[in-house]
Amino acid sequence: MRLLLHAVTTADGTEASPTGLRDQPCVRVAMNGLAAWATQFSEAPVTFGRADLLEHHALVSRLSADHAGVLPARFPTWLADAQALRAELERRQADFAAALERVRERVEIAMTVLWRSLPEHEPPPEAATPGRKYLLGRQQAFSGSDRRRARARQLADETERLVGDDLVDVRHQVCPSATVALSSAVLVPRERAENVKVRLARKEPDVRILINGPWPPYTFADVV
Amino acid sequence: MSLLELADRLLNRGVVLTGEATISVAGVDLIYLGLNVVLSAVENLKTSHAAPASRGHDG
Repeated sequence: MRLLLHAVTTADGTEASPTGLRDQPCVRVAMNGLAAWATQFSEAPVTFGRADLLEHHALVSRLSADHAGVLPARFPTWLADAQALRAELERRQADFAAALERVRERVEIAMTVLWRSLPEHEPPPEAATPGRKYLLGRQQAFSGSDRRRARARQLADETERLVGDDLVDVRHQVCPSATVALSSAVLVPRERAENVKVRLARKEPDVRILINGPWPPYTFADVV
Repeated sequence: MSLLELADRLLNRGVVLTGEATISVAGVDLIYLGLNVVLSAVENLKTSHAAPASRGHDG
């Protein structure tokens, strides 16, 4: 038997277990105000796919809706059996309780900001020697990159300003790839999530802003 | 983008226990992945159909 962990929650809410992944049973292990939820497999599937990811997400979302606090588990996290899971809950009880308090009645809004165009390819600078031409070219590339990073940071600041008093916590990744200007996770009170989404969705001439969620607080469940 | 953003969170974040870690999704190692790698990895998980999970809004 193997357990695929979905989340650790507060011990309030329903005790009835939903169906686990791939129609396998979902078990609940409770201890000291915490509950852990996991699908029980007779043997571990060799590979997971898109459907499994979405099923895990649906299950964690349901747990989030049913409980005051939820800490999603990184997918896939395996434990040997219920005894091993109980031992982990006991060993990490204080960490989990503190983390659950941070995300209690809060959800995550995901914001991805995409550049509308790729970096400009300016003509290489003229220079008397190949070495100087190379250095001027590098300087030109870096200054363009700096402009983009500055713009992305400006968008991050603007995001925090727009969320305003509803902002509990935020994590930004500035220019994580050539096409993405900003990837942000914003932790907000559950009841304010839809309002925050409306405020964040806006049009900008140089970027497309995509808003997702509300999701369980995946980014803020960083208990390691 | 919604599925990619979601996959980044599901695969890259969340509670880590000292349980036995499985390190492969769709044949891609997941010991440590940055966003870019995750975005590449989940290409394998994409289909031509839109994800039934939360959908993004173009603001």
